[in-house]
Amino acid sequence: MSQTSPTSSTVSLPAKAFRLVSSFGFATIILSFLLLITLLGTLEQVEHGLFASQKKYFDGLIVPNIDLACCLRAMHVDYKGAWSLPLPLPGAALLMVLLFFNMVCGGLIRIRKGIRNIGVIISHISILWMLVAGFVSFEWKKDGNMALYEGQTSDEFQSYHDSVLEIERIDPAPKDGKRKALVIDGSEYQDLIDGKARTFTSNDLPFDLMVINYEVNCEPKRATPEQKWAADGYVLQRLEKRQEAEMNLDGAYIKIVDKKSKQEQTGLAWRAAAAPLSFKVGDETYAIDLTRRRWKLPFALRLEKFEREVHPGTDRARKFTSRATKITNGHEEKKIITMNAPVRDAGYILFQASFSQDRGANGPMRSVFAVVSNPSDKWPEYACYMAIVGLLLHLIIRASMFSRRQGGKLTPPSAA
Amino acid sequence: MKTHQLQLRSLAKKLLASACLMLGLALPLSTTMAEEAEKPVSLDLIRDKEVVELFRSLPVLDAGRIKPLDTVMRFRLLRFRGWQSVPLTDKATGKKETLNAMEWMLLSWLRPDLAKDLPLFVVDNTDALIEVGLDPANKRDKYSYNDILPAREKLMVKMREYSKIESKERKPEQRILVIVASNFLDFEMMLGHFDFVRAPFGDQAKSLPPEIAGTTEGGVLRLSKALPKVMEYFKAHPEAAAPMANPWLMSMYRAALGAHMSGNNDTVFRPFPPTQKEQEAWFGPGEIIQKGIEGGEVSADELGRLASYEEIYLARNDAAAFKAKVKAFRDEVVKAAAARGEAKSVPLEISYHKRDYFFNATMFFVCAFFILFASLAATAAVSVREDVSFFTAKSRIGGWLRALTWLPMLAGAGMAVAGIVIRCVIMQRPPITNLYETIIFIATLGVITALIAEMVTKMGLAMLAGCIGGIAGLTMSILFMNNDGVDTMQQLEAVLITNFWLATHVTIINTGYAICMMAAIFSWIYFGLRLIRVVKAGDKVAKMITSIAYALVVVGLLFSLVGTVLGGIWANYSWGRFWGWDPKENGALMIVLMNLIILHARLGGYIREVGTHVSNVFLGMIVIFSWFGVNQLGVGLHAYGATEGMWRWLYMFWGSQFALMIYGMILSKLDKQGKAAPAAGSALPQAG
Repeated sequence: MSQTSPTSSTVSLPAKAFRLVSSFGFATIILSFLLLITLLGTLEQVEHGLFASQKKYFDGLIVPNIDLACCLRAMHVDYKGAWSLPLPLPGAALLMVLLFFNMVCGGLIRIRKGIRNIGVIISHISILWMLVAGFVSFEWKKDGNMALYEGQTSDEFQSYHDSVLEIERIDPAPKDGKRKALVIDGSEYQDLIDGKARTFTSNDLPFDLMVINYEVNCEPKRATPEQKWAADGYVLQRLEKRQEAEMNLDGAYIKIVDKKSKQEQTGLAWRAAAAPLSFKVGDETYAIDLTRRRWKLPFALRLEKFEREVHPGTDRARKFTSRATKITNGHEEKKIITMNAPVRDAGYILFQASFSQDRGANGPMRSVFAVVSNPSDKWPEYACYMAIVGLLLHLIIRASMFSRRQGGKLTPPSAA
Repeated sequence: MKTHQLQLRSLAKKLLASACLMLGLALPLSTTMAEEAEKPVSLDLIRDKEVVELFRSLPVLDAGRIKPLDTVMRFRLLRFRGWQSVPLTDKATGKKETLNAMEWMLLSWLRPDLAKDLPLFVVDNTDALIEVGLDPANKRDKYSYNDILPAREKLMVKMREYSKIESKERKPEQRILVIVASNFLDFEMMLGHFDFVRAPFGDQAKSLPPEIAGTTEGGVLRLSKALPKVMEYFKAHPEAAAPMANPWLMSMYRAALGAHMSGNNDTVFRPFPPTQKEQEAWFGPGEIIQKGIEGGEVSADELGRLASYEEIYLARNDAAAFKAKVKAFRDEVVKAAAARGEAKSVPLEISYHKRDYFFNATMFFVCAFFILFASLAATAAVSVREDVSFFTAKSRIGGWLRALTWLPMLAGAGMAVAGIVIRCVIMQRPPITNLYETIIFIATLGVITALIAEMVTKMGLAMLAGCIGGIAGLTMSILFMNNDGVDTMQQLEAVLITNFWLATHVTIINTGYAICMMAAIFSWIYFGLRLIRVVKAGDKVAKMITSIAYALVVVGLLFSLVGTVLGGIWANYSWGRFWGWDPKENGALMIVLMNLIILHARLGGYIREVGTHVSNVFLGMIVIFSWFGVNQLGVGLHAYGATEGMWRWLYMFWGSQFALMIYGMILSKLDKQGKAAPAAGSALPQAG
């Protein structure tokens, strides 16, 4: 970064802006804010969970307030009350965008070019690459899980968090046998809290669908006479949000209005329902399912065998291994998926994530795979190699310059 | 394998059920009746070096790892008492002697009457004692089994009550009571370890059915002989297999618990290697007995093992015979383990404990500190006498002493490196797999970094930083181990079992921690020298210290950044996500960010000499937060290292560092004032 510049009176506004954005001071301020919100976002995880904290501090542009009481309790300060500081701070997403511009302007454009700074330039490029990788991953990464019992086959995986409403005609079934569903994205109805409602309509459907009173975590309870939001004699009772967002069971009231007859039907859509909510409209039956977003894989996976090894004499897991068959257009391929050894194919990666067991210690086990498709999968790794090269180069150059300045001899001050 | 695991799980459940049964009855194990009526075992046998060595080198399976019994008992005593030794007072003469972990174990097994009076249990909470109706003694006093016994029933009730509360939600006294109750029960099992020989049916031997009672040999009822009869009897009389309705079966359960020596399935006493190669888990006398009374199959080989173990106790009153039995048993176990290709590192592990590498390294660093201090004092005397600056004063004695400091420093560093290498050999793993290992690694690497800096600067200051880092770090490791009371060489969770990532990500990130901490220590030294006015702002020494501290920040950035990114790559490789904002990841990111802030603020001229050191002190605070603090939060994938009492230490450290930062800010202000008005003078050194 260059230090000499024209006097401020002769500098144009864009040049001033460029100087500001490319300055060390700007970098220092951004990094300091990033440090602060990383600390606060970490502390708030203790009470609000990772998902909520990530959304608030790291995914957003602005952090609206700081839950100081939670931060104090996280640091084992015995504070019982509530204390939210309404001080807006820049979110990590905004800070990383600013950092990107700062590094491009200061670390690539304004910096003095030459052998002396080659390591710094390489390091800056590597960090920029990591930021780009993070952005690509944030925008285009698909990740979820697939849980299979031994002998079970599946070609789709489910998001950990993304909620969707799927509307599917189940009777008469599609002639080609392929499932077809209309999907309403969670962002379209997750704001409908405290009695709010929104109507969704589609030319492909013979009815309008109204989503009413969305709850993030709830369970159906038999309604009492005074409860107005009852459907089929049941209400959704709000429950406290879980720290692990994926453990929340969301739900909403659904109202169907037949486009022809204007006849209304109501029901409850709940994530953990044993079966989707079904309606008959005219001669057709539709199922409405509040579920996690699902993605198709270009292949199917059949779990042949799941093995869980423990350290001898303990219940502590040593290794999970899934022996599976990958089926692509009828072609079968044996695969072993185990800890630290995923299977990669067609842009998707299947990892051995965990397992679950039904009905106590002797119940059937399900192997849980994390499934990821990330266009920037390997970029951080390559950027890391680049950062190593850049920083090492910089250190070597600096050390040789220091050594030359000392005339090749380092002497303590007392001998000077 | 699957069948074996199911058996294990089933056993664990049954063991827990049995323990609950015991708790329900709130009755102590029956060590007393038969044992007290017998001729007491001589204390000479317990102190006998050969006996101690034989038991010390007995391989056992504990917490999923084959290790010497020595390790198991050292850490058990540490868990109970906070020390690896315990004093035994002769009631008649009042003479005190110190028992090591193996002698303590033997005393508990063979002389429970004496072991019950040993000051054994740490109860570092007065409220906890009052809650169970005990009189609190002085805070640092230890309580014996007999001291706690009157409160046994209440203790068990409280343990059951508080165990239901999530551990991080428990109040301090609740946490302490759960720990004390668990330790008390484990010790009770140790006291009753040989109950299965001395009184396998407790005081119910007379009510035994004749087909079982008839298996006595020379008046002794041996369980290895009676067990098949017991099994046959339960097949013929299934109604007798209900412990609540069958007092002699209840006594057998008690004996089995004593033979297990632990209420935790992972740590029950397992000294028998299985004969089948494919079976991984070793087994112990408790499992054989329990299997027999719960309808399992007990093989002739298992009964043979039980018999040979019984014979050890039966020979207790004849020292020569006892030694011979112990030796035969130990040799048999070692041979069987060798045939399976196991227990190879047992001798190395015993030697590792005996040599106590990290304690000895600490002693070397303390020694180096005193020599260095003497060297600095000698130089200071010359400086005063000749009225010259401390760093220009030439003292021959000071020079000699400074050169002499290298010896203990190198010896200490060598000891610490040897300790780390031996741990790697024993575990067949890279140097860091748990929080304890981060401490010894970082402390050792910090010392080595300081020694390299000393080779370059030759001022004694880097040596001082090395002394401080070495003493502080290794003392911390000893305190941590004593506080935790758990074997520091543990088996890893499934996802961590990868030597490649442990060797790269974990080692590199901890190298980053070490270097950043050394940067902070150099800044402590800077402030210390400013405080005693040996150094002035901007003089050559100050510049030299600042240069070293700054260089360490740059190198620290390299390791922290690369280590952090490698962690992300590992996570991506294992779970498919590069970054998850997990607290430990965030802690590492915070270190990288602070390094970058220091570099950019310095390059931009926002911080200079004092500012750099204030920032370095803050960097040290962040390193400590990332290293220990985030583990205490109790959330995230890395919440594996929560340690009792850690917050107090953290706040003490951060408090001291804040004070240092405030001092630095005042110093900076005064330096600026001094520069602006040099004639006005100042209480503190002027800017150079």
